[in-house]
Amino acid sequence: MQTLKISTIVSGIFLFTTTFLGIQIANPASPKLPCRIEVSNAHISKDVWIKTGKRAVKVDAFSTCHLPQSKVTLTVELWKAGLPLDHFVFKTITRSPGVTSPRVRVENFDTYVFCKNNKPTSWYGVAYSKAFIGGKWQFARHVLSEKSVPIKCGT
Amino acid sequence: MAVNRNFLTTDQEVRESDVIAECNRLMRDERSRYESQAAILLEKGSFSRQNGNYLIRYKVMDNRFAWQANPPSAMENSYSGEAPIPDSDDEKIEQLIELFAHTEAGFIS
Repeated sequence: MQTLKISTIVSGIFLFTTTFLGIQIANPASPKLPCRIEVSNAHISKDVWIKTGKRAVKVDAFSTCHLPQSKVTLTVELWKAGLPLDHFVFKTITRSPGVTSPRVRVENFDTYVFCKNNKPTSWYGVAYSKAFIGGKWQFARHVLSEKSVPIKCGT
Repeated sequence: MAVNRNFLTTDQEVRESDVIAECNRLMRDERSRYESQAAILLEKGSFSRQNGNYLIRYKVMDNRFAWQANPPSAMENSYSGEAPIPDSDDEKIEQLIELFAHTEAGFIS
């Protein structure tokens, strides 16, 4: 399980496009990206396994920005790798309607499905978002989990 | 508060464990009600249920089951989701049972 826990390390970072790049260039004193999404590797929660005897594969993500943002929508999808095509399994969307202060995270920790069997399966997450920033809608492109490692969790 | 490397704080990890365990319990204990709800959803294409503060609407959309959970206040977070519709009738029922339980168990974030 320790391996699984370690495998949930932060994986993806994304920079909001064009307008945000412009804002960043306009403020070169800040070395950090103005906005980003981070998505975990797919993993199995040890606590849930111990508590229920059942395993669920899960992926987590959050969006954060160095500027005020509002109407943030953060989508997280759970996929499993396959041949010839990967399979979409589940997605959840968190909508935060108010203003989100700089550096405050909008989180989506609700994307999980229960395992049906122990078949080793490669899972990964995809996250993307949109937000109203600086008077314009900004769209974040898809960010994938850094790793898609086989987990004993088939569906 | 310390944030673990899988993004969740210690409190959020407790919440995560509670919510997913509740989802598991609901799938077992509310199976009969969920089977009835699934029959309605598959027949009519939509179904709504008040769960705590959230009004949850379920829909059959093309090749996906979709749901939307709206709070009473427009200033609170809302949640939605989708899952692909399986081919067989039995798999559809099982998919919906998990979906109903997932939405009623509550939200972690």
